[in-house]
Amino acid sequence: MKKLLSLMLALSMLLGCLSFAAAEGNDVIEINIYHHMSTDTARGQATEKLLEMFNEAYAGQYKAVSSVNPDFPTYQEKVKAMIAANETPDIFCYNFNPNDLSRQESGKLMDFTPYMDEAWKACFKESDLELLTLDGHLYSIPRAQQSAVFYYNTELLAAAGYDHFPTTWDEFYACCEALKANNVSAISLYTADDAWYATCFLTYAFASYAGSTVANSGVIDCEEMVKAAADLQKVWQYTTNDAVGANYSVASNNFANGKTAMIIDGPWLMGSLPEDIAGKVAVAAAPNFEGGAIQDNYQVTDAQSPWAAAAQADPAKAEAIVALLKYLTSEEAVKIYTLEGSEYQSARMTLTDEDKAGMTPLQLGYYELYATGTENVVNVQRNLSTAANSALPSLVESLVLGEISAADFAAQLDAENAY
Amino acid sequence: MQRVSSKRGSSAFWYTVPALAMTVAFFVVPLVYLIVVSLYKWNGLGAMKFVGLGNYTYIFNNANFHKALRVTLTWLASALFLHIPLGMVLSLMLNRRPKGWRFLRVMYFIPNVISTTAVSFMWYFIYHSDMGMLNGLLRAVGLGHLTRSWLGNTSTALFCNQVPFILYVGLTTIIFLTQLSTVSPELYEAAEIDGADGLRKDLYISIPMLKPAILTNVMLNGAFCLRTFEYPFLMTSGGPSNSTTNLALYIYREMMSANRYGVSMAAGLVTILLGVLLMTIVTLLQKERKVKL
Repeated sequence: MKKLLSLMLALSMLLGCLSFAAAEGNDVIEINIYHHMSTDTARGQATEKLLEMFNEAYAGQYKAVSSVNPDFPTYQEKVKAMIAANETPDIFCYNFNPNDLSRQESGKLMDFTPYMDEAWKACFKESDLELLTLDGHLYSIPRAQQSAVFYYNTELLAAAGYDHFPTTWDEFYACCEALKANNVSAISLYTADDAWYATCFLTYAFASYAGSTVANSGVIDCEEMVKAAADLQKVWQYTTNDAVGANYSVASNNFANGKTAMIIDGPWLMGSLPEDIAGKVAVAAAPNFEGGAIQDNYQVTDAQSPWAAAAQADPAKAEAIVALLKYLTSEEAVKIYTLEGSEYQSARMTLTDEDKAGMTPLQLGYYELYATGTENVVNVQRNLSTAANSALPSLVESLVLGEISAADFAAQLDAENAY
Repeated sequence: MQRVSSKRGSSAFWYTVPALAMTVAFFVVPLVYLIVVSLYKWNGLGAMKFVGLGNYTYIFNNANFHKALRVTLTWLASALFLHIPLGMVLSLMLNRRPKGWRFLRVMYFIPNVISTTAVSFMWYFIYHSDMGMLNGLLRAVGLGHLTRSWLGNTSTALFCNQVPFILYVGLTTIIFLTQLSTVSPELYEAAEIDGADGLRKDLYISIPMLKPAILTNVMLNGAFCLRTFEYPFLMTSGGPSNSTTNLALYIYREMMSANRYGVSMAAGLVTILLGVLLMTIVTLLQKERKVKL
């Protein structure tokens, strides 16, 4: 009896091992995609939907698994730390900065050049691919480069006597004053983390003084930047009390809760606005100077935020990564990102009338503004060195609290950028 | 006899080997690595470039580093002149065994077992400019003109960061109480016979007997102040205008945000040297006390 039992036990163990080996032999390649788009946002939901669609399309061959860190500044730092620790995620995204090519130069990123066939190449603008090519190697795939535009609460502006968004800077400040008289904070701004809203405003002011050529050149310590910094000081009197020290979520919630009348942000904001307020929100081109240095409907854009991947020793894994990135940059995926995720992608797409009919008025307003943009200026912080970016929030705080002058701000930012 | 003693010495040495090995592996080796990296310009990913003492020259000429050093010394001052004296006063009061003293002792200690993260967020909301309890209280008692953005103001943010540390004296009080429990009751009885009141007994018996506990508290709280990170990081992110950035946060920022690993390590070494200096002073004071005894 004992012998029989032992035999059965040995047999079951052997069968177990065999079934494990069979499962291993399934050859389903798992692709870990690490990103910042959480599923409580429209773009996160769109990403999850696309990954599910990919997993269905490649069932039994590839499986994409996502992990999310919604705190974008922390996410970027974590990715760098992972690359340094030889734990580069299979696929991730980051903000491209020509002054910080540490990821590309680490030797740990996949070179997409051999996989960039004509069909895939045709999905992107030549300029985007050129931007991401370093010494003939393409270490990233264009993902998104979106405009940060002025969103405004039509009800609050109407109550202040404005049935349209100010078109000149003088009118803008008069509108801020009228809102203040109504006990409404005119604009959402913040200084913590990357001080994104504050730097969007700074870049708009800088671009309208300097024009797109100078504003995109990387020059910081100049007269136009000093004027723009002075404008940032000026507009601070119209923001909320908690703006110094607040972060993105605090400032965007101030707009979503109707505490502020304006905000400068990308299309992703639309996906996070509650329905009751989204109906009252419209988008508009930035104010300008009459006969100024830049054309009307100029736009401040975020950095190109491309996909990148870990260098692979296994060609099959590399193929899997390329398959997923081709899927995510296909026209079908780009439409899902745009229409459902409120996230505009770099890959080309054509929206049909039917597509447009399915958009909300706010989405359509953003799309039309985006499509008719005249000149683009990349947010100044996206072209700074990592060290200068790190110093920027505290410099903005010193500026708006009156501890340093606008000229000191420009000079100190330039000095940090030079180290 | 000598052989037995030598054998004992040898076996005692082997007992210390695991701890010694751990110290070498997890402190000495990383310390050497830290010193080496502090001599290089490195962003954590690319090639390392030897710059000699360049990173040290940079931090000693950098206004933000000076500010971080000042903030750290202010934390030390808050420990020496506010936190420890408060703990001492509280322990002297509890040592008189007032009604409910056991309950009070537990109450004072509770904040020490709550995570600093939770405490930081709690105080963040107390100070919040719109929905904060502090501004609400000021408005309620007719002092609305005193309301402000406590954490968004360079003149109040640092002190506001330190308030939870200054107030939560549970552990410090326990250390003082432990020391007070070793004081012979006969000393107090003799003082009472000589007509000493409570204050005189504290001044001439309790406080002089607390010196070892004072030194222990200086060492523990000093070390805490040198490495404290959560309060400035979670309550103010080091702002506004770096007014709450201490050395620990400066080191973190230089490495994680600015990606200047060499600068970060150089600042780290300066912090370690500050700690060594503090410990040396405390040790010398302890030795001096033993010699006097």
